[in-house]
Amino acid sequence: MEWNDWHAHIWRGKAATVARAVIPTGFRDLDRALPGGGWPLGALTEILADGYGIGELGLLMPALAALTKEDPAKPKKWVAWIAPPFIPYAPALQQHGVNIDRLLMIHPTSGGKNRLWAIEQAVRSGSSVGVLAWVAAADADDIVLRRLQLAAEEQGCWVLLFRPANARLQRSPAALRIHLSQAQSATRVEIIKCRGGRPGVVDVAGFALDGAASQASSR
Amino acid sequence: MIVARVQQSLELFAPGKAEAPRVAPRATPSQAQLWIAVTLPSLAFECLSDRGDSQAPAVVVEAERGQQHVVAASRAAAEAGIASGTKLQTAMALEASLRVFERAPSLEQKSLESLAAWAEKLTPTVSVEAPESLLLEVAGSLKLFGSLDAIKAKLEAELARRYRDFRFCVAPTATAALWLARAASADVLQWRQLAGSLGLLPLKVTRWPPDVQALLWDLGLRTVGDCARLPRDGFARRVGRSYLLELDRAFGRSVDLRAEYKAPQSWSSIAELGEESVDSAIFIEAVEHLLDELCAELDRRQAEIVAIELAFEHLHRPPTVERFDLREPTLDRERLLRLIEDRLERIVLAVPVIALRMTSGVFRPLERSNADLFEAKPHAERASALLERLQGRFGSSAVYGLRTVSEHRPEKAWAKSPECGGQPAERESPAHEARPLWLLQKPVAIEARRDSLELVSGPERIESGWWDEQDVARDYYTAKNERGQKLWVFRDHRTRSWFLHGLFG
Repeated sequence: MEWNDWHAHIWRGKAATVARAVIPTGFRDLDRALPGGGWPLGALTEILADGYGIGELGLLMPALAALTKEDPAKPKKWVAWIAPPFIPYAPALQQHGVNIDRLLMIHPTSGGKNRLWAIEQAVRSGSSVGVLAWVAAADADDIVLRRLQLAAEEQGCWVLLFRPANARLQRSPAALRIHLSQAQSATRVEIIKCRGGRPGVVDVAGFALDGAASQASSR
Repeated sequence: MIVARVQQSLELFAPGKAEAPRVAPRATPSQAQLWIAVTLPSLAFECLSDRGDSQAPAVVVEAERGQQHVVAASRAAAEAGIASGTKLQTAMALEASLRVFERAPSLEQKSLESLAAWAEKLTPTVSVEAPESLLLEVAGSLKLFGSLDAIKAKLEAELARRYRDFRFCVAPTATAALWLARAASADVLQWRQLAGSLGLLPLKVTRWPPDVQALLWDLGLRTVGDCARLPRDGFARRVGRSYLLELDRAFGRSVDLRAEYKAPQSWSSIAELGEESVDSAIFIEAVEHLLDELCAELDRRQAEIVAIELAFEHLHRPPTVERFDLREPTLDRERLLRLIEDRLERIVLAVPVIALRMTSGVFRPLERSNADLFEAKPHAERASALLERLQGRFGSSAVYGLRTVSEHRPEKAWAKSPECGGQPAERESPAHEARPLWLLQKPVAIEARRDSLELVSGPERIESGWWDEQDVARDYYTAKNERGQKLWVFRDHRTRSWFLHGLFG
């Protein structure tokens, strides 16, 4: 299924066996490991990692490039970045083929409550196709995540939560939970939980240092 | 019969005048006018918000030459025999339990203006006739509403909603409509009936000063028709030219211009809290009430706004003013409410609030675009609404888009785009070497940890900026630390020291 063929009504409230809207990750091994062959759209994905600079953004770049592509037939929607820990560097994003006009940076006033409010606004507004948010482990409990998951389903929004690795022990309604770590020159993606799929480990190589730009532009 | 007599007398009367044209039927379609005069006999009483029990006898009084006169009376008071013009002493004698109110001309004016603003729905030509009347020219609106009866029905429904005591009357001239309404006469729709109907009206409908009316009374004149029958020059000399002119206007012999009521181009209203408060729930209630008013006004005026100001008034201090800017014009109550609610959650008031005043920005004519058809506009509106809410809560600098800048210095090769992607930015050619997805706010010195870094690729020399005294001379490397993080580091040429500038996220 093409990433943009999804519609909220197709799959709302259906069992996990029903084909879900996905967007290919751009990495063959990872696509194979994920049900439907890509990141689940209209759902919550948790990315657990300690530290930055281990390819956590590079992993998303092909999908972001596809999501932000200019399409006159579709309304313009944002990919919102909420409380990123550093400056998302525009020249690098462009190198990865991302259309930076569609990116919206949001820096909530400090406090977990503000962050979650901003995330929920961005998702619920229906004007974001994707939301990337950085939250602390303590900020988001099961109830909050469940609300975000429902909002994401309603709006067909790709919601990514970056959380520290210790959040792994918390319960989560997310459709997909992955843990990232560094393995040699690759990023190791451990699928902790995956609705409609099985846990597993995939090494995604070669995008962070050299291959990313070519991978992204070839899509 | 009577009509014929008056017209005949007008014909006789006409040759005597020197300056005015002969009475001529002038209802040619192009210049035909149709006026509705609304008169509110009890406005002075009905405009009072604290008049209390409507069953109790009550009057509004006004001082005139040291004497208090009744201006308007409640129904119960009227039944006791108290009418407009009765002396207060007499009124008190007639009804001992009478409640007495001072007249409030500003409230009367406000009530009339509010009605005038509503009446702009029916016609653009509305004029306020102080103290208790309104004039509407509706000939141009007949086609829109289908018939005069349809307009009258709308007007009557609104008047009945607002007032207990009202009358209105239709006539071809404004003055005639006003006089006929005061006398509660029937509508006059034809020019040829005008003179007849006007002629029968008692002189007091003219509201001419008492001495003028007394003079006319002494001359044996009892009706408007009696005056119209007099020789014009004699009437002008003995009574006054301005009264002759008014007669001419009533009979359509002279142009009757009225100052058009122009509703103000912004709006302001105040909600009193009754007592000092710091409770935001009470504020929200007041805000909702104010927004109801504002949005009704916007709807009536077919207007949108781009800004709102909310002033929290304190007892002994200047008000705290919060301003709300919208990204695009709106008349959407929910959107405005959400915006204000978000802000109210955040702001901390140092002192209790006694009242909230809401002031709108300038009204803009409502623009309805055909884009609705393709759902493009609702989406753009939703997107703007999101930005407004976020910026309203976190400040406008906390929400922005990204753009690239044609610059060699990495920290200057990007910029915030406050338009948030409103217009597609021009494409800058990306740097040739790979850039990290994360950039640090400022380079961080890593001299001490230099040894644990493994340089993977580089150097890329960047020397630039000599012209603005923020020049850089750096060798950039991609490096890896012991934890496997991929870093973007550089060595400064002049200091020979190492810095971390980015992360390959």
